[in-house]
Amino acid sequence: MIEVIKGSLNKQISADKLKKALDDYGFTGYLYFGEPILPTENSLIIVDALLITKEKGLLIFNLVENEDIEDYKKLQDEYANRMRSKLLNHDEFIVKRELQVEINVLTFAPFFSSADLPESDDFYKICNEESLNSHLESIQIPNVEVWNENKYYEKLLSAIQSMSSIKTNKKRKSFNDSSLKGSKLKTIEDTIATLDFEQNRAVIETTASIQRIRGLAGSGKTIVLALKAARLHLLNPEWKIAITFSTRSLKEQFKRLITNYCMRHQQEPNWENIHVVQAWGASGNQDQYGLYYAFCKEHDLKYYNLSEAKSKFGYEKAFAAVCENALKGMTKSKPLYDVILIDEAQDFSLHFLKLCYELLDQPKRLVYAYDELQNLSNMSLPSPEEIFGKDVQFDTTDPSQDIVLKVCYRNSRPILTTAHSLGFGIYRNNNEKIGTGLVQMFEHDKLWTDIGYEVLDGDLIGGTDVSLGRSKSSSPEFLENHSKLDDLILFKEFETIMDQNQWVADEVEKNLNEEGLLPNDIIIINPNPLTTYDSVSPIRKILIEKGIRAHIVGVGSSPVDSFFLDGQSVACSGIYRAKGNEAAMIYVINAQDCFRADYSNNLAQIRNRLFTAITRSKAWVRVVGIGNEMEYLMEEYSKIKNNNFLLNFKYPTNDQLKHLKLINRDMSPKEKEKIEKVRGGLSILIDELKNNKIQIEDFEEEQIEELLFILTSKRGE
Amino acid sequence: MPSHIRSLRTNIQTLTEKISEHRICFDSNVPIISGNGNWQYSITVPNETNVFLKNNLSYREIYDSMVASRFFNLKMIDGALINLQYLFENEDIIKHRLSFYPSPYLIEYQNNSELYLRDDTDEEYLQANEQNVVFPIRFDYDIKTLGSNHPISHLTLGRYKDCRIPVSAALTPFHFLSFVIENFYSIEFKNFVPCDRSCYSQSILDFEAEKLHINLPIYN
Repeated sequence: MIEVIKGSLNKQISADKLKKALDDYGFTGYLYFGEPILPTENSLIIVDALLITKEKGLLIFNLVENEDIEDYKKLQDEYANRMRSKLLNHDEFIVKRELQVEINVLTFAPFFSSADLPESDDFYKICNEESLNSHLESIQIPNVEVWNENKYYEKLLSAIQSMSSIKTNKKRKSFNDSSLKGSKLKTIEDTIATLDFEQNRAVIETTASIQRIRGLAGSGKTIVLALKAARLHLLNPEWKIAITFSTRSLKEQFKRLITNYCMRHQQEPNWENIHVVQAWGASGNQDQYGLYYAFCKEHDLKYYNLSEAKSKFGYEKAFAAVCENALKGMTKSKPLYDVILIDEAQDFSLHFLKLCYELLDQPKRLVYAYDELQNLSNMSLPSPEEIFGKDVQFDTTDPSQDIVLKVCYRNSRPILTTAHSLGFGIYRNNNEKIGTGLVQMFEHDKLWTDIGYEVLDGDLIGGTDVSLGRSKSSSPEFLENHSKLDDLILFKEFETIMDQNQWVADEVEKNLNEEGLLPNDIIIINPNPLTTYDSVSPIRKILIEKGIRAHIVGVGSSPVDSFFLDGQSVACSGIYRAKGNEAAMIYVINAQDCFRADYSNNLAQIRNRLFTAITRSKAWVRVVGIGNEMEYLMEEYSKIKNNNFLLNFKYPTNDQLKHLKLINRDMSPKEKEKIEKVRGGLSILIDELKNNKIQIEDFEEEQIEELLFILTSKRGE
Repeated sequence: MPSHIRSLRTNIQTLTEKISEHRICFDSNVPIISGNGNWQYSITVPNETNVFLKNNLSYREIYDSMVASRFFNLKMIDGALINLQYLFENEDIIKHRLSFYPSPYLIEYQNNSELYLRDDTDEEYLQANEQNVVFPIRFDYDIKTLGSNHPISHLTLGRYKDCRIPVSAALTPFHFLSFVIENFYSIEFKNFVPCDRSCYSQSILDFEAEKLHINLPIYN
């Protein structure tokens, strides 16, 4: 079976004919169209088709679509030479300075009759559909034993895949001691360095329409998006491309990834045509350019800056409202871009997504990526038809339009299932009123398999026991095999905050001085946004006293700021800014704040914070805290461990689901305020009655009856 | 090296740690001593630049450059940069430059602390707006100006070039930092308790003292 990956190629007909012809052979391998992109002295060439099979090795095709055979010999030379160049960069193919894999080249000209075809010689081969067979036969792997022994097929695949990816690894020291954390980390990073097939395909395949990329956090969406943008830019240098995102710190990351990819192809990115920009934007220098601002300017609409938007539309929905407003005011569509790529689409209002759609010329090439599991209870985003209108052509069965990145490359199976367990409250003590301990649940049970879980036993049916576990393919073992379980995840309780802080600082010191980790391998996260700076400052102080640089991640106040600064400092952050970032070692402090709901946040939100914090980890996580609630949290974790990191629970009934949804519904600040006020009033009432400051007789008989009635009847529901 | 120079450096480090403990300092650098071989020692931070001397640069450019090269002792919650530099010859202080450079990109902490203290505040809400007035200040001490019209110890406000408000003496790190915290991070001042009773001897001249000037506390 040959897997086909279709990059952009305008030789559609001959490509289809080639594909059809090759289908009959029963090869095992991959067929790329319009890939790889190979740098030449001054520019780039794009390979028409590339076949990599176990049986035949590497075969490059030059496709001839029309009558003009061009200078096919020269082209074949180019392909072969550039490919050879690229492969010579990979030591695994070289023995005694010679390339061990053959580079076969064949020109495929399906519109030429056999009579008109030029003569093939030993070196330059050209064929049509009829003569394809004999040419394929003549390609033989010189020494099949050597080929298999050295796994040249797998290595070729890896090499080709790496051509459409980039090495993002930091430079690490090599360690002699492989038990050191630093050494383990290097191995993990090297293994992840190549894109997998799905990611590869997501980068290369484009459609002349909407493309949706979704997956778990840590499935590589940001990198895929960046590479995609860079690739489109290289292939279409005159196109106007915009890439946007919600978290400010991503701007640098995108610029870096795009630059790296372009430089690997010996091109510099032209920032005039590829814009890495934020969503809102303001007037002023280049750096403040944004898509909303551009939209307003181009369509001659009133632009609202933040304070204006706040006062006119309110704080909460300010951005959504101004986008909606702008869309309403648009009379005629004035497109600005050929392609727009949106990362973290779940953080944007639908109005903004629509606005981007309007900024595009036909065909509407919009690529949006989002975390399927940002919000543990719901589908993050509605369907493309719901967002962009029924006219949009979106086929969920077309893998080039709807891409799901199932493999999580960041979190190992134990860490991910722990995060999901705690986030959903799988092993939380039963709430007798509702009959389940669950905190939240997916509305659509299909999501479980979408994000890489298997139903090992039972069913996802209300009232039934079910057992879910991560499949090996969606949670690669190399992510967990490097360390003992108790080293991967550690929960620890302390007597006092000071004890907690001292322990964390001491551990960080060990990580850096004894275990070979770098400062930017570590993040210290505090889950409660109201206490972050108070909580991390004392730890930072101890670190400074130890001579270790540490910083608090604040607002990106100038273009040079980023999450990890210069990489020589340990980052201390709250949840909000930690989102989207990752590190090998994560310390979640004050985890006791994640056990119970507080009056202004519901339990789902609280547990979501813990979920986000834990899933920042690429390797190891330490969850620490104080007090009873930390103890209860640790009890929940020990249940997860005892269940072997499987999710064993009774799937909630529809009624239970409804209830969960209600108590965890999104509340506007006004609603929250009202509830707070009323709760406060109720507390006072109870107090005053208890202490006889008010008497029951002070109330009207009717009122008391009414109240009793409401309380008893509503409670019975 | 005279021991009081070492202890001054330690003093700055201790104050840095103290301020770091209480939520308003997000990043800092360890002060270092460097000698130039001529019996002169300076206490500064690594990556010292002279970018703030460049008058042709915009404030933003100067600020960006200082952040990029990490030329600051303290970087505060609202992006403000605090620098302390001292120059000694043998035992004596001959120069200091103590500066407070607020961020041109963000609103002030003092006027907006509730917004700053929640780490889930959207960055958009902290961006500088029309209400902002960005105003750097510098306390300079330079013994070389003796004999000219300039007071040896003076305060410069903003980027006004001849603004030299006379100050009674050189400032100790504690003088400067408690001044900054009390006036620009006032709600935090109660946490900033170290009571340091050291001070430098008066350097202000009589005629300067007859003008509007700043009197540093004198401890006996």
